Amino acid sequence: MFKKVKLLLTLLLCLTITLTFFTACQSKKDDVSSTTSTTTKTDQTASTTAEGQNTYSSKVTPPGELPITREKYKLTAFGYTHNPRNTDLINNQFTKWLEEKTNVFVEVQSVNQSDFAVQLQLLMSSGDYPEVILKPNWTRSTLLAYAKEGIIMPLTDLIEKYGYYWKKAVEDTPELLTDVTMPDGQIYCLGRTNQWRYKTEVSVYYYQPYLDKLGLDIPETTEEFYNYLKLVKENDVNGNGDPNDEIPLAGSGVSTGDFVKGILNAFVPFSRSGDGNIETMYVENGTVTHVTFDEAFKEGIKYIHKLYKEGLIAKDAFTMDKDQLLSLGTNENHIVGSAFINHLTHITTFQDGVPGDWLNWTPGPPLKGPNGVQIAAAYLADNFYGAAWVQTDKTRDPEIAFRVGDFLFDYEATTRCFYGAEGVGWRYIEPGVGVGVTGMPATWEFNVGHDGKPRPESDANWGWIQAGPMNTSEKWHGERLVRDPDLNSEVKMYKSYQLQLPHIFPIENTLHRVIYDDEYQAEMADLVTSLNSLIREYIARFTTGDLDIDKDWDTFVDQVKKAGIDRAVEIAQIAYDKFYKSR
Amino acid sequence: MKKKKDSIGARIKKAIVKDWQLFILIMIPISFVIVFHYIPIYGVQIAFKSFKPSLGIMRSPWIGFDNFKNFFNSWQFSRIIVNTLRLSFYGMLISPLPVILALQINYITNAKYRKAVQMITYAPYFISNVVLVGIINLLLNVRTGPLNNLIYMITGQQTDILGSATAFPHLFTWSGVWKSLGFNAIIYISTLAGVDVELHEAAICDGANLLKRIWHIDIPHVLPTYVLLLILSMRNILQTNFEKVFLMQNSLNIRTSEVISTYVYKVGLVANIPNYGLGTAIGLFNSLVGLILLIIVNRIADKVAGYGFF
Repeated sequence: MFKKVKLLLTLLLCLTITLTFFTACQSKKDDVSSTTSTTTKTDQTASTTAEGQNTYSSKVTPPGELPITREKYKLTAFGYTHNPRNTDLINNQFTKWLEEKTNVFVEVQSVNQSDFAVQLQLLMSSGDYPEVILKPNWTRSTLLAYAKEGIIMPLTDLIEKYGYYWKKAVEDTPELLTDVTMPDGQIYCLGRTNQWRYKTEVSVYYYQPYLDKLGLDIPETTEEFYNYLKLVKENDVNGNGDPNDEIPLAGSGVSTGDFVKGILNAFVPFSRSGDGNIETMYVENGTVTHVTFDEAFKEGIKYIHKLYKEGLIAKDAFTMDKDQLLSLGTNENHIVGSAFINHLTHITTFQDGVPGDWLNWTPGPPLKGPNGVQIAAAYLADNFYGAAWVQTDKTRDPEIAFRVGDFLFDYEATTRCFYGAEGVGWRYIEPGVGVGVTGMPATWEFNVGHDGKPRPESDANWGWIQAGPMNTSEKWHGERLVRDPDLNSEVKMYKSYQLQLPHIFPIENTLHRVIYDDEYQAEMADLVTSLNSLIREYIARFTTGDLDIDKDWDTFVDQVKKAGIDRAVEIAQIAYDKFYKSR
Repeated sequence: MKKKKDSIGARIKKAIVKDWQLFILIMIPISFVIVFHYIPIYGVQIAFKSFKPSLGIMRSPWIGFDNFKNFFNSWQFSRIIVNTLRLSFYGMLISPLPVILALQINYITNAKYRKAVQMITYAPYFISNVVLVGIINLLLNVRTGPLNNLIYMITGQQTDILGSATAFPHLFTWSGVWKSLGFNAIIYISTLAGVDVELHEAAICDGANLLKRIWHIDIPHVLPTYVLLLILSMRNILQTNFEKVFLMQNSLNIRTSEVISTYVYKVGLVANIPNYGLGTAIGLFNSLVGLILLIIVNRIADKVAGYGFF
């Protein structure tokens, strides 16, 4: 008995000792971190008051001059890699070149693109984040929330005082400035000038030999589209003797092959889900509304169901991923008749300048529905680019960090960031050799592929690629030489862009770029996630015939209402009003 | 009682000095439990808070039971609970299978053959979930999957099994059976090996056939282990194999494949604005339900069969 008590007591003692030990450790750590953060904050205020007297910091050279610092300097950052094109941003040719040019070594800790969102989330909540974050992929609302908490610093004054390449980029592309300016007039991030004025989400491509064989023109309406698919299905258009192996329309469940979006936009505006938007919502005369319960929306789903039922869409279209779609498109007996894709690489493989099966893909205009609706599944390019460069409150020398971000808007820096070293990935060319995609005189050329040789395996980690701010403006892109316009994928896609352009849904009629206030943010994020997935789920079930659209329509309406569509419209209206009033 | 010679503190000191090696040994597991099981309890408060990373755990404002209310009122609530329970109960339904396999292996007389069977059945256990789901996807692919080609040859119809919501629970459970059946049988095989041979000899003398011997000798031997494992598995009833469910999910089968753990992942980590509070609240709810079920099942087992273990 006594022994037992003794044992129990000793155990208890052990427990308390270890517990106090650990709690002590913990609280000590907290103390340290809070003191350091206050000191950095006071430092900052001190430096801003100093800058207020219009004296440039002695730490950096005058704006536009290189190197940026006289002594070697280390800047910490976090970004992502695009495996397998680059796997490491520290031992990276571009990082090294940047250090040579600027004297600043940017130590970019990186993770793979697919893990980035979660890792960044954890990093931010642990409070252990670095000085700079490269393309955190935030929405404006998220950025503003972090800015309000003081985690992200405003760059407005820094741009004014130290900006050089950025200012030049803004001259070329004024939208760059408007897109990163928040309603409070401040700038918290640097963006990226986007290559075209707009971006397609998906656009339709047809297989030209099939069209020729059937004697058809490129389909323009949903009716013609249906006829084409049906003829592809019924005939042995690839001529291999099997009339059943053709897949008239291929698509996938992921956004890069989203045939649902491509087709529905011939019936109703079915917009982009990014930026915390519900796909069926849009704005009409300043009033936020949604098409979820509309007859036209129902009609659109019925149309997709008809295609699916008659075997015109790949049976596994909803479950297919990017790679499966590509392997379908590159089947040795060509079998795919058409596809909604984001980029040519999603349906075929090619090398510019080398003829091949890929040349047979022809872009088509957005489909026109029975009620005359014809909307491109595209959106105006947002130069905000997921807040491509943000500086946190941990930044020791804001001006040095900013100067590095500013330098990334240099055209050569952009090209190197994207394609690696000059002479390997790309090269300058003599003026007058040729023109670019848009017809401007070309100044540079993409090296890899034109001579038929792929990039050597040893030439890995050549750049940051798309993980950061860049100046891929229309000028930059247009000055890139196109050697054989007939054998160039960019020219092909530019043609598709031009077919989409007249049918872009005006940005003021969408909820993109609208910023949600703090109090609504979490609620809206939940609503967006659940409503988008719910609506998509029902579209899939109606399409596959798992549910009967006429019989189960009421259940669908009921479910969507229960999931809070009215509340979402209400919140969006408040945010929309506030956003456009501030402009 | 003897009269006290020393104070408690002095006695403890004496005990520690005397058996310090033992104390060092016990320190390791105790500190493990404290670091990984007790200290994190401090973070559970997030479930009752509107957690803001910049404010930290302690300084985030309290919001009472709002996170729980949000979860219970969500349109997904009943669906994910039903889906989770469906997978769990299905798993429980097939839990006697390893016992049956163990009995079969136990009665194989050829030692080499027995070893081979055992080896083959437990080898799949070492395949990771990612690879397993890859195998499933390859097998069941609509166009290239061998199984689908077989179905196509017989019926002339292509079916997208991977996208079928009704097929999901079966696919999930039976691929799990394939993977872990042999491994789970090991514990029963070793229990059966401990059965006294004299019992069997006596039964044979009394004229019992094989089935009778299994029923009256082997099963009663295995039953306590089986019940123990079943009770322990109750604790995890709301926790499904996140990795596998998540990998097998697609927009067509989400109706039956959205379970609590995947939902927590979606709202708590990958959403645009992650809701840590809601995620924690659901986790806490999970543990509570698990604890209650564990106690109830233990009571029942104790009352009905006398096999309760605490």
